[in-house]
Amino acid sequence: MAVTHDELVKLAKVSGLEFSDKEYTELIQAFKQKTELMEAMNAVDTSGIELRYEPINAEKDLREDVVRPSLPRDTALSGAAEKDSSAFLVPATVE
Amino acid sequence: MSYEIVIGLEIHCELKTKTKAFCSCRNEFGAEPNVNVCPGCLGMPGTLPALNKTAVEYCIRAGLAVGCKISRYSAFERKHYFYPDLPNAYQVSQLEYPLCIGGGLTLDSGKFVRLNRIHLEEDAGKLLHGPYGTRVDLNRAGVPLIEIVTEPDLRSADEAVEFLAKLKSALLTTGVSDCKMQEGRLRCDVNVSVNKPGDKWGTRIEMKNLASFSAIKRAITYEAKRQMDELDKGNTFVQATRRWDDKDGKSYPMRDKETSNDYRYFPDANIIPINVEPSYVESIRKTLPEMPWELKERLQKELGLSEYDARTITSDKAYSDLYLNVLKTFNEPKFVLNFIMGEVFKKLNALGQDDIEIPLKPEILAKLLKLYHGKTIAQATARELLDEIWESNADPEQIVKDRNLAQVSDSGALEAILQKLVADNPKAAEQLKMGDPKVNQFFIGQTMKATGGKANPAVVLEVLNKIINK
Ligand SMILES: [Zn+2]
Repeated sequence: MAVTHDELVKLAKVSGLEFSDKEYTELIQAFKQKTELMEAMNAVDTSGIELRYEPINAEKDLREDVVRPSLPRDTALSGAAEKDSSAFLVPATVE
Repeated sequence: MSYEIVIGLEIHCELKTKTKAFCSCRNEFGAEPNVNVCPGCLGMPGTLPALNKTAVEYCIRAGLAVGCKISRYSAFERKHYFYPDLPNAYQVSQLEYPLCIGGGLTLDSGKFVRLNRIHLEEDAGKLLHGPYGTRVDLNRAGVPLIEIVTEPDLRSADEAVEFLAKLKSALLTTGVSDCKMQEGRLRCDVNVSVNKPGDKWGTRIEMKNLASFSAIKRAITYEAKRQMDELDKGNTFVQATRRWDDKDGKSYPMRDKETSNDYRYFPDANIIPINVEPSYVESIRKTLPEMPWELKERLQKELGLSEYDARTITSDKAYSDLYLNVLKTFNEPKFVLNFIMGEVFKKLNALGQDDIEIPLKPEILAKLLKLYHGKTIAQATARELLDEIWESNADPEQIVKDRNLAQVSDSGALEAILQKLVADNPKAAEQLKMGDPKVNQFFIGQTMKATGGKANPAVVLEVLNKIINK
């Protein structure tokens, strides 16, 4: 299964990305390699083998619910292109 | 030709954890904008999410309360869309492996409404629209939410509202959320379709972020009618999201862009799937409190309440908490119930809130009810005092003493008043002698007037009978 040019154009559009024709060609190649790898793995007969995963334990391994200091607001806002004293500013959104 | 209405709900409920879902920023409502943010919830490159243990526990807890099966294996996906309140341009959610599956709640009619799932996700920030553009507050970005998805089992706006009220009451009881609709901490998306009985289901229309019971009821009623009218005219329509305008009482189409459903879900490789051991689930199950429907059964069995009374008093946690706590110091189950379902409900209805909050402390109400029950004060006085102490929680005993509000049960004092009334109203007195019971009310009313509402009606009647039959 290969990724087509049209599919990539659509994906780029919904992702808000722009690519040149050269980049599209490279991307199609890169995707092709990945899908070929997946197909190769899919071809392996796994029937009768129990599913194994190594997830973390919900009771023991997760972050404790303890507050740690957040950023000073000035620091949080410092990278913003537009801001006022307490908030980020963005173009008006239409509801 | 009649239609059948098919409704499904997606309920979003903010969890009452101390910190956010994936970072240690404070989860706090009503703080100054952008004080609870860090590189993680601001979506800075190079940060990694760290899943909150309590958020997972609360999601499981909510699931257990409504009979879900808890997944042994659970994982998180990214749901992509662009909006200024979403710094990462994706929301972490659960699609393939939600924490809780199935479950449901029974309506008063006995109908069981099935849940599809409950999953854990994160909230977005808040946009503050002002005259100079839009400001973004990211305090809420990353706050843990559970999304509760029903099967399309509901068939009317009333059923939908009843279901939501029951769910809210259950969630409040588990303590995982304060469910304040007025603060947007419990919000509801509604899916509505209509079809002729026997036909296959119609096209589904979704309305998002309904924030009150009345909005939900009105939106469903309006939208179902709109769809029926369209179909009656022979029109068809496509699956879409419409915006409910609660002020207009109408739904409007949303621009295509906002409804595009291409979320490009894929596994969040930064969040390792979690393993929920059955022993952990059981340890959470053990800490579940008595649920409203269990309490209802117990009140029927132990206190002899009727099905209706038990159902009503357990329909909101605020009611049942007040009731049970009043009984702790004044154990007159029927009397207390009648007063709460009468006077207290009247007061709450007048306030018309979705989130029931009763400022009056149970021990203060118990004092008032003792005075009323013991006939120290008349009903009218009890009502007035309820108004007065509702927020102030002033001591009713003290007020009665200070203002001399105690009921006049002294038959000597009442006799003088009634003697005069009988003399002044010979016609009524005559009717009373003939045994006309309506006249009793006249004399009680006049005596109340003369005593400023403080006469004990039972004693009035007693004295009146004595005078008439002399
Ligand atoms: Zn944070």
